[in-house]
Amino acid sequence: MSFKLSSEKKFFNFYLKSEIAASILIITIGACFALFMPHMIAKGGMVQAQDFIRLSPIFFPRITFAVLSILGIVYLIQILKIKNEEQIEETLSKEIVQNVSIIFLFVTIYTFILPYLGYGIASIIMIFSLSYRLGNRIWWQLVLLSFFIPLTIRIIFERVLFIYLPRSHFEILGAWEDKIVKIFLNLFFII
Amino acid sequence: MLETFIQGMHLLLRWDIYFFIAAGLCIGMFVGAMPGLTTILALSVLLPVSFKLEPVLGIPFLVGLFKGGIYGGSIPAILVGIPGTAASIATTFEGPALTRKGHGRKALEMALFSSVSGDLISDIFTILLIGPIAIITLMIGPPEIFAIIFFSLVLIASISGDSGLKGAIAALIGLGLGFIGTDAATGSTRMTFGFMSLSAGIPLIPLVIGIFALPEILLAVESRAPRFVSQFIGYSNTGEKLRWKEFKSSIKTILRSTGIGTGIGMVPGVGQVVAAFVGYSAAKRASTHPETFGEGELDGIAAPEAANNAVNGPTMVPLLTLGIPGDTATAILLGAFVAHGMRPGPLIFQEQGPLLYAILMSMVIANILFVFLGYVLLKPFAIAIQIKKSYLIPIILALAFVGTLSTGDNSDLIIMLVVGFFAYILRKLNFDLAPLIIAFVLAEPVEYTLSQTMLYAKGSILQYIFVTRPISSAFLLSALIWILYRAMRSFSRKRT
Repeated sequence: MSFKLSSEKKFFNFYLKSEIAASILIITIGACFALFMPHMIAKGGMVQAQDFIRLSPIFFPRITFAVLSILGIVYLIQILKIKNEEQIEETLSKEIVQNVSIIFLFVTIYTFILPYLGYGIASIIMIFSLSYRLGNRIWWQLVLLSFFIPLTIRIIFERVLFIYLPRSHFEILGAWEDKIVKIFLNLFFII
Repeated sequence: MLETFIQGMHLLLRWDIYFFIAAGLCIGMFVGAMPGLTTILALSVLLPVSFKLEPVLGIPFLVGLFKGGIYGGSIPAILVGIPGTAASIATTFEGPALTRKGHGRKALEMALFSSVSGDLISDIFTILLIGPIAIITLMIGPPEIFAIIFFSLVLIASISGDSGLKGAIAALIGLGLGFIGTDAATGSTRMTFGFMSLSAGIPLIPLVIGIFALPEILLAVESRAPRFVSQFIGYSNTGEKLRWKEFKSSIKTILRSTGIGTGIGMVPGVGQVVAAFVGYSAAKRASTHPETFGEGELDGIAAPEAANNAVNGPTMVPLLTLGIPGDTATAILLGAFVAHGMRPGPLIFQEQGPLLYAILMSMVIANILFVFLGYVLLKPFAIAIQIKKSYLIPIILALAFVGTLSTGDNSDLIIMLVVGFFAYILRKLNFDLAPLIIAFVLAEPVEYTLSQTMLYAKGSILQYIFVTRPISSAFLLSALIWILYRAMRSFSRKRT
């Protein structure tokens, strides 16, 4: 006799486990923050003000996290009462987990390389790889997209809206990027 | 008040205001038309742009973005039966049927004109109403504001999403995040865990982008389908233009839905989706031929579109007079107001009356501009729905990062990433994140107004509130009764 779970059943178990894990996390965070809130207040501030208004900085956060913990328990009880698949509407498959994990990995790498490589170079790498991953296999489009989008963003946001974008820590890369931006800016003003 | 209004009108005598409103409308309409993307995503990614502009340019830009987005959602709803935004779900009841009959263009134009009509009427109503309400709010003090914020939070949390419990948990997480940093009343720093960058609290921009933009991107890439919409859209087959006679026959429906949307807009937390459904069912009930609803009825397009757009204006009433955002969009707008040094609340009309009237009037201007822009852009945006994800997603991600970097602190990228990861998981577990962001922006006011109330109470807070402050006690009691009612209803439902 085989006890292999059907894919629906597997999904149901996975989803239920995720809900249980989320509720336990909510209960734990709520309880820990409520209990240890006095230790999470840095020394300083106006102690006289606290005496005067009788509302310490601990009061509100502590109540918030205590109620969060209680609601977490109610949430856990509700999940444990779920008995069949029909009560779960959400869909999650292996394909979704895989696709999302890969894109999230791209985003994470982009986050960490951006301050070192600078906005321009990091964005070129991110746009090229993300567009390729999402199905774009036309090379000239990939190159144009990954080159012109960061350039346009850099010109609009840095020169027009004065939003500072990180420059590469490596001087050679930074200098090249500046030169390219300058060339295109001059071209823009000539046009 | 009239003098303030005229001063506000003077502020609008600049061409660049119209340019930014038009830009907001176009971007909003485009994003709204993409079934995988939401208007809130566009608002959160482009919020930092508004910070870099003058308030009279930046806030109307966001207002235009939002208005364009709500209408944009109806384009795929009508053409392919996939709502671009949640507000246009009710439009799918009639839209695809009309397209199949060869009346897609009539439906799109009816959606445009009814959206603009509903929005315009509710905006004018808002401008007329907001001044007197602002005067009334001057008579209330911190105990009342605390009670109204508390009541609004309870209402928003309990009616959001499928489960009131999940809404309440999201709101409490938002409050918890809002308490990080320096306490406004005493100056103590809380929950910073030794990170100096957290002493000023979690910045709004990385939080908003993390909560709304990053999960949207991840949700859009869940499937490997190359486009948001797989069906082919042939705009040339959408038939004839809408005739004046057809629009005239729907005017009554539009006015009814506008009334419904305006009323719903004033209640925090209810929003466009509910307004659209109520508007649609009211139109069906009032119709002399309700049996034709579902088979392609123009009234069934006019009703939800007028109702969901009529919500936009009145949501500004609690936001501007009390500083209470009723939905996610107004929570983001509140962030924009604060960034421009304007703290919405009872005093704002005294301090910055002309600027506020200019912003409110820009809502009316946005509607007038939208009639022309929407009409011209219907065809290109209907075709643009089929744009590939591989072009759009990298651009949105690059813009989301620029938005986060606009704070000038690279460590905000980490905040965005961490918040985005957890927000995606919460979205997958069916948590509505609107209460989270609303509670986050209300965390400081709720604590500060309670501190002030305690100061007034001189030790006996319950006696002070329930004996000497009737408005405050009414709101607090209403909130408690509402919590009990919801809890009992949920309990009795489970038993049956």
